Amino acid sequence: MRRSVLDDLGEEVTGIVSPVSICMALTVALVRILNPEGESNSGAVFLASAYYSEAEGDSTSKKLGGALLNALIFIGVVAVMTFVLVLLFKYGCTKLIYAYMGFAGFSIFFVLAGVIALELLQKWDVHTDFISFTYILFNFAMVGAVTLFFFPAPLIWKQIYLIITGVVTAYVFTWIPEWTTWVLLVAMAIYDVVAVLVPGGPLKMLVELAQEREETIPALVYEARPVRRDNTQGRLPAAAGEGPGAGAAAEAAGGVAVAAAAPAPQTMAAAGQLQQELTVRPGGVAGIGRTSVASTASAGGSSGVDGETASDTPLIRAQEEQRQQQAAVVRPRSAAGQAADAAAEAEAGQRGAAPGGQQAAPAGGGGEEEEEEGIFELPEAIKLGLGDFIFYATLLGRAAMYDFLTVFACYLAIIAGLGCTLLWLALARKALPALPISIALAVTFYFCSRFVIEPVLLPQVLELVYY
Amino acid sequence: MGAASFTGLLFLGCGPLATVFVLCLASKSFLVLLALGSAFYWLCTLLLISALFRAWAPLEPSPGPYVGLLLVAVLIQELARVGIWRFHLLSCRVLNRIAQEQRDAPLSVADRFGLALAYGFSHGAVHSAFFFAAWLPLALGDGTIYSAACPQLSFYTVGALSTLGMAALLTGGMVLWLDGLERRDAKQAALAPATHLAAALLTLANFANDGCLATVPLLLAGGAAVAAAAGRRWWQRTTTVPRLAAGLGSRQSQGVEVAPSSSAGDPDAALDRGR
Repeated sequence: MRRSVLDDLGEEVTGIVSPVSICMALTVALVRILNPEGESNSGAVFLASAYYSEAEGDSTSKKLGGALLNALIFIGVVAVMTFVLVLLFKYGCTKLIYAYMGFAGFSIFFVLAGVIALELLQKWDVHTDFISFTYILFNFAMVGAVTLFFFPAPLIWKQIYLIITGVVTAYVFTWIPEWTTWVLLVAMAIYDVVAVLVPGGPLKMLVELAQEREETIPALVYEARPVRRDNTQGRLPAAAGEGPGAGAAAEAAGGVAVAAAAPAPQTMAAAGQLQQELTVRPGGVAGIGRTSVASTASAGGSSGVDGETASDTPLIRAQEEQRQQQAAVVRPRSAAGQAADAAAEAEAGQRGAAPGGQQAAPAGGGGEEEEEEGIFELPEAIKLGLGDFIFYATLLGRAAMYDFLTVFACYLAIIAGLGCTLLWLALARKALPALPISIALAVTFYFCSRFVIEPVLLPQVLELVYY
Repeated sequence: MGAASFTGLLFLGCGPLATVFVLCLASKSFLVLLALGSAFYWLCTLLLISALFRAWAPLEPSPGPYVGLLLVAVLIQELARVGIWRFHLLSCRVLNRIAQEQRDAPLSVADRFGLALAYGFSHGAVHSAFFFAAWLPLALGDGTIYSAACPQLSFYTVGALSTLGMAALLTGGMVLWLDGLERRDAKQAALAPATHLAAALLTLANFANDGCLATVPLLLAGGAAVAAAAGRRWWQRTTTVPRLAAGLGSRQSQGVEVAPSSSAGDPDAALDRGR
């Protein structure tokens, strides 16, 4: 029996939607467990409250003005850090970038995650001795830093640690006062557009540099597990060497992403067709699959979405990629991750666990544009920068401080925005910011659900009237 | 009420729908994405309905104002259902083209029912989320809430049971709606809006003293009936192959029972007729 087209259509997209959803869900859970009253602390993320510390009794205009200035300062620091990253990358100081990334990553896993773990243990009244806790935490942090930046590891490990990084950082960001949070999210979305799309934007420059040198962008980027195509059911003809060879190479590489034929072309083709009802030419989908991939990079460390397509991955390419990936296995943080690092450093500094005042190296977005070269085609995967994870989860965590109606509304809005961004990616096929559409929709639906839906729905539900 | 009550009510109200998702939708990424996208679509209808009545919120707690709300809400959601049908036609055409390019099998009847289930699931899930699950975390506290007209069942218990019935009704209704339109069976297609309106107006009985003791079982029964009808239709369509050639006898032209197969049926002809 022939395969159904629904069997694996859209797997690349769910490969990104799933970890985003997990990150958001864990952040909401942390907020509801550890901060159910929705308290804020201007000192939690110093950078986000550098100018104005929000207080309950302040007037609306003062809160809004103060939040705007806070956001401008935050964006300014992120922009400066990103430009510094571009310069470091341009002049080949990648070791410095990776060294700082490793230190920042270790700090996040050891300090921030450790503090959260302590609070959870206290909340649940779980008794743990200091030595065991420190030993386990140290190992956890060390494995995380090493896995993400220095040594090859199974992709699933990297994905798990990236999600943990996103959750921890987003939870810290939920302590930013309410007005500052919303203004900051909108400001980051605008900055994302500027940094990625405007000529001279730092992330655009970073992506172009990486393309010129054919090097990996130094950024924390979540890469979805590549889809392995089974070419035994009459799919598009793929180049030789696909299938078991590539799979074996992938296994030999310890799970390094090397994939067989690509579903992304079909996904993007489907997206485009659903949008425009294009007539598919014979081999058209294969054509899309073989052209260069739209990738995204986003500002503030939120990278954009990076889509790669490949119809096949011959064994020789898999081995070559394995060597490249081992050589460039250290991945610096994205810019939003840098911002998060700066916040984490400040937080760690306040807690006396790490020297404060260190400037996180600016980080670029997470997109790469890769092109086919003859039979060499890259494994397909969609990459989304960790900054996007962080800001999506921060938004949802802030919504959770109100109630779950806003959480559900914002979640659906974020996913819809992400879907629109991926559709845009399929059409534009270049680096794109992943924040703007999702943040715009989510912020709109937060306020709409809070001020429009809830006042109508809640009284109705209390009267046990449903539709 | 505590964590135990919260968990129990969550499983009661949302468990069956979650089971449907895990068993029927989760294995196919496209259906998951479709469900998420159409859930956003249904959220937009909720926003539109709420926006229309926001100026009068909160409505006077009596049946009169809520009749208007329910009629408008059901009308808007049924109009939105027509949009789902148009999108379903478009997406089936595109998916068949992709299948042709990939040399995969064209969309089977089971695939079409899967798509319909994704739309229906999203409708039911949005209802469950916004009418029940969003308020359930309040049950984690020490107390509970009772409606003045329903002292026998707590607000959360009525919500869980009503949500269960409504979600089953909305999910099954969408399957019947899309299948009915594909086969130009007006009676079957009309079941969805009719049962939706009937269920919504039935909840007005909760204003009466002890009205919940009647509405909850009726909603559950109605939801179960619609879901069973949808399931029966699914089984019939995926296990019966209609005869194609002219000149066959009437008995043969009624179809032949075959072993369950996901590729049974002549979906393309039905879809073209549905256009």
